[in-house]
Amino acid sequence: MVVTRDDRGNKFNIRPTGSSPWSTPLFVGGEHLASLGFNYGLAFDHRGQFPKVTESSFTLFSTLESTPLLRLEFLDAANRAPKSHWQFHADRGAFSHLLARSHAVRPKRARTPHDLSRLHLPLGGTRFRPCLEDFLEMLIKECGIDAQRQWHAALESGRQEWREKQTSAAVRDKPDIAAETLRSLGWKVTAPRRKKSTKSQREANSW
Amino acid sequence: MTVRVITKTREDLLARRREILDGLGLNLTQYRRLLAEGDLGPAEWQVRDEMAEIQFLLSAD
Repeated sequence: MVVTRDDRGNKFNIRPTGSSPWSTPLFVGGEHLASLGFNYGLAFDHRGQFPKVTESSFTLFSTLESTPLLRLEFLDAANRAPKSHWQFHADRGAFSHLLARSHAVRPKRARTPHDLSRLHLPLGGTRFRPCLEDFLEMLIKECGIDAQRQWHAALESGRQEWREKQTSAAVRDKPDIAAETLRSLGWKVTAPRRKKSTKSQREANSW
Repeated sequence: MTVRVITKTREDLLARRREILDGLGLNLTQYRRLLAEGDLGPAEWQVRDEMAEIQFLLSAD
């Protein structure tokens, strides 16, 4: 792994060693059939206390072609596209037909009628997006990619940590909802005298 | 797992980006247009993550 940081120490990027996305080979029965590219960009939060992922990209490549098969991407600053989304590099005649007809009516929305990979399939925004462990488990369980013996425990452990952090962040986004839910479960929750500022509802509800 | 930490100056990042673009035979505007239009070819995909890293590290805080 390589962590690259800017000389101000404000931003960090994490990716596999080597500049090529083909540097993480994936095997099926020992045969190199695909590769995984991944990339994380981290910056400090608005208080300058904790690093947070502001963008990430997980890409599956086939060894047959040098373009992606599918991508799971996150861009916190996105506003036109969903912050977290899948992009499938595939073709489907009926889908292209739908988009071509839409393009004729609303060209600014359905901008690329013949390219499904340009669609951003939304995934739950910043808080509820999948993690790398989800992507890897899909590759192992559904694409039959070779894995180490302890893969499941390792992925479950990583996913648990991820979900706990995301839950905590979601509570910070909407503490009133969290308090109400806890009260409904029998907890006693008292609001502080002075509430800390939270994410705007628009931001917390963005796609 | 071995983790290597590298610190890059703005000049390092700009020089590396120029080197990548020279290798592709593109200028930055042309590369960005291909990226925005979803028209990256195999050679551009090969360097896409590194270009994204450079852009991220160069971008304003």
